[in-house]
Amino acid sequence: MTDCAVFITFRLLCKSGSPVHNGVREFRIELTFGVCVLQDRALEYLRRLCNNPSASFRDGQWEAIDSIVNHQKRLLLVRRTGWGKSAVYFIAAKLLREKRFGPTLLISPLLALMRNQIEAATRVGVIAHTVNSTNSEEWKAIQEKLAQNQIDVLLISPERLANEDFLEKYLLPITDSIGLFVIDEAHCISDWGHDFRPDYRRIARILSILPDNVPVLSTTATANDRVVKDIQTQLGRKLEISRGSLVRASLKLQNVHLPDPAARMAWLSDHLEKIPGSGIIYTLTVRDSNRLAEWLSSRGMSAVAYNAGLPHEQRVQIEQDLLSNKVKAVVGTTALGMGYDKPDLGFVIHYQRPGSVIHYYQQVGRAGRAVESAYGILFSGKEDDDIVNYFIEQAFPPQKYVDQLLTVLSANEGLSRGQLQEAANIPSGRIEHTIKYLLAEQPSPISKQNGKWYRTPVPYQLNKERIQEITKIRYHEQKVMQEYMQTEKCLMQFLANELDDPNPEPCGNCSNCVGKPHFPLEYSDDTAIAALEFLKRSYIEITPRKKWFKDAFPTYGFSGTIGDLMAEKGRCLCLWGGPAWGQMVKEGKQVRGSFGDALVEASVDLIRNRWKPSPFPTWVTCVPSQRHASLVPDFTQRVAEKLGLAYSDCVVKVREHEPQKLMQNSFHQARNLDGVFDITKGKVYNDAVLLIDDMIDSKWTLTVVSALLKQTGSGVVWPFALAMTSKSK
Amino acid sequence: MAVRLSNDIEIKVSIMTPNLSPDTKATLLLCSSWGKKENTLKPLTFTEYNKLTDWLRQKELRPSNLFDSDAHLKNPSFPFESARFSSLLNRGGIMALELEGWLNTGGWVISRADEEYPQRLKQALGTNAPPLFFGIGTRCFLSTGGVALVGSRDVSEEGQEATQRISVGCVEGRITVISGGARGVDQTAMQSALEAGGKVIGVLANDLARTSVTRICRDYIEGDKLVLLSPFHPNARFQVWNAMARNKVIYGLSDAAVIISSSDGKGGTWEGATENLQKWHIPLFVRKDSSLPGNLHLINKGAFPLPEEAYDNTDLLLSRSLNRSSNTKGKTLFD
Repeated sequence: MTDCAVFITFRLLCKSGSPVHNGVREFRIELTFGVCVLQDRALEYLRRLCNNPSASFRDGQWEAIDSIVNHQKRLLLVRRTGWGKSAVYFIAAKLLREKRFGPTLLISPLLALMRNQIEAATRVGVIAHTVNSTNSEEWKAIQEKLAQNQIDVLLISPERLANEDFLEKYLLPITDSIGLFVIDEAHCISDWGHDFRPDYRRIARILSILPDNVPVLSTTATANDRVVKDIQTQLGRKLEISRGSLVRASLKLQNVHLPDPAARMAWLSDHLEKIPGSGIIYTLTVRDSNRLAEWLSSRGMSAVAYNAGLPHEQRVQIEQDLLSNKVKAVVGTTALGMGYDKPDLGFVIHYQRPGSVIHYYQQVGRAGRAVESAYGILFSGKEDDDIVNYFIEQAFPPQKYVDQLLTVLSANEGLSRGQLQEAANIPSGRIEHTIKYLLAEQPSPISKQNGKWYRTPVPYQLNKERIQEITKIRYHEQKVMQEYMQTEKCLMQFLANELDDPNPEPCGNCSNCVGKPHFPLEYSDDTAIAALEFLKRSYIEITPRKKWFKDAFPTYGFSGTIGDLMAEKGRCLCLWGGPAWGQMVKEGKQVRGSFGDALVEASVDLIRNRWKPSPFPTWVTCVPSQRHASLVPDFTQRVAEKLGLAYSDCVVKVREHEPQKLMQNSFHQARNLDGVFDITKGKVYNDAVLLIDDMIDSKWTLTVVSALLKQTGSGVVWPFALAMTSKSK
Repeated sequence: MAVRLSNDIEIKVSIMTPNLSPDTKATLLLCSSWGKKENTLKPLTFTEYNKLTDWLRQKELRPSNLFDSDAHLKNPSFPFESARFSSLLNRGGIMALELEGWLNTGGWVISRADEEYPQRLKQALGTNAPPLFFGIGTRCFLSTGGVALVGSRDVSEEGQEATQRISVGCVEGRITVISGGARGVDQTAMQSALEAGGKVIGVLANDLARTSVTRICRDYIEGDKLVLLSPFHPNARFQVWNAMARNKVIYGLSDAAVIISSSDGKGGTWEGATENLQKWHIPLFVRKDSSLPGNLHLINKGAFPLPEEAYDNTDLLLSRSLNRSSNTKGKTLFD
């Protein structure tokens, strides 16, 4: 098309008497003409992309494409989900390719979910491929295509892009030009205290190095003024912003305050089937996602859990099932999140209240994109504040971990991940977290080279003031959500207002606008009782450890795989401090100094009627406790009696040790137990045994005692514990 | 009621944006390899870069103006093929990906067009001054001169001792030690000076990134005692020709140079020293050692024999001068 425009200009030029004078004019003709043709062409692509021959650009779409393709601008699109942001970048990528620019690099957090978009892109001849941790078997082929310049759009996750090895070995050796950078879910650049994404900070830095001749498109559906301003600070002043209304007319909102988990479960059981279509139920924790899905299934509903604990294939399957309406509800954490595109999603229900309006809007906004009406129901319960507070408090690594990590790195030439765990007494999850945090710092006090972590030569101090400021904002956001639960005004307007929508108006659809709830607040007493019973009966599985920690057990001489000395899969009655039994265990241990009969009954019921381990144990023993000498043996004897089994106090403590809770990571927890226990030989039987402890955390105690029991000649070992601390989840 | 977020709790994000001038970005794109390893696209050679700067100066343009529009490249007087330039300049995305890690761990890049580029180097080397430097550590003593201590990788015990003595002597005389970071004399010189509390400039030919996080370098860089720089990519591996190109920078930054040991007629030390005698004319002292024909040969070629008093009085090194020719007079701007 450009060729055509040049040709016409040339003819005009030939006709003209004064080429210099007319040259200026013709240049303008060429430009206008060129853009018109380009716009027509872009429209044609849009129609093919949407599979709709009469589609036309939405307000702002063509302007965005034009500024990227013709003016190499940096643009931030703040548009609601479903507005057509992907059309902008696929068409821009296509037009840039026609102008012989390099491929587009599209950075998006959840690529597996973009399969339908990639498919749509092929309709306009855009060849798009994904490279992420789940498709490594395809990398080689994609790399070859890329090297032969046969790929128009490469989709890649921020984590992949931040991976040095991937960059150096995969991407850099074969690429020499990138035509366009697209940053999807750009609010992650800013919103990082809560939804911690240090990899996005790296993207921001990459863009700051980028020369002005490379266009950048960043997109988000959720950004208030603060976030937009922050993105602008990070991506540079030249960033232009295209912003539209966030109100979604099809969405019918309703808020319901039901403090008790059993009440919410009962309500869902009674009403879920009455809500049209399939949808998502969001929970704040993985455990709630699993338990709620199990509850709804047990009530005959097609509900399935979705969270970060599931393998990739299973997650893809669940996404597909939801897309094709094969399940009524997916009960998920935010792992089912950004980029999930199901235009006919019928409802989004929140079982617990999210931490901020940004999070809530983003999640509820997935409903009703292409259907006339959809429901957004927000519950809040008594546990919400605790959970959200926990997230807020855990968002930043404490000073002591940062200090410990940097001290250890400074004292060494370079440490692998395992060496770090050995050298620093920090929980391994928190090591990762601290590393991520420090990597996001600018400049970073650490760097990774050849698989090892090094201290870099830059002075560093944890910016406590900034952490306090962000924490303050998080608490403020939580307060706004509490107010949102109470408001009598239009709910959608409240949200849009909080998100700095240019001009929010009452939606006329929410329960406040309508003047009555979309669904009644009642639920039947029978269902509520059943829910409470269910809560009491839900247990946690204890998966045995399979490997010894290297160098942790010099006294016992344990190393390598545990093999024959391994315990069987055990059971744990509840989560420490959780609903139903959790509170009772806490009280028994901390206040009463003994565990009540209700807990004995519950344990016996679980072991005999639901767990039914086979071969069933013929005798029972326990882990001797550190400070309350009688607490666990007393409880164990009562359980043994109820089960009609023999009790044996064969496990003895031969060495005092530091409380396990002071040990911060797996290595130190393991080493702390070396040589602590011994088994009295004469008191061990060669049949299956039930091994009881009150609390379970790292599982090292159960692992060591089970191995010692088996070494001494016992049969299979079935571990049982009263409560699991949430740290070990 | 929603409470507006008051201004006093707005996040103050302190971003240290990597300080890369637009001119430096243009120079990086034109003069370095980025991305694709097997590439027919060749970055500018040294001569080509100088040809470009001549043209830019004529047109009163800066390197960054090449980003403005294609018009400059299509100018009939533009001395290069415009397609090659477009391709070189279009590698910005891949350059940014490759450079981010270096810049965020304390590294920097400066080009000849930057004010912070060591003026002394331009004056000493003229158009032979490298268009780019990658570096880490404080830049404040890059232009304040010092004494270069160089020599071969394999050095006798006597040479080793001499290196340590002269190095510590420099520190006592508050003279910056400048060296090349290679095994042998270079490393001994740098380490002795740092341990004695002195300031050191290390001009590396390879592995800048890896060297910067070694324990010894890291602490001194953080303490503003050591600055490492290299005309080559921070991850560049050892290449003979890079080592040669690096030598002139060592001389260019120095007031005087001391050769501890040199092979005869070959090797990096020899090549660097003879090039200096012919072109840069930095006062050159060579340790007298009858077992080293290379050293004696350099003295025959016009280097000063290193006086014994210089070990204790390093100021002596700064009082001599060779006849400087006038052609190395520095030009301004980015040439």
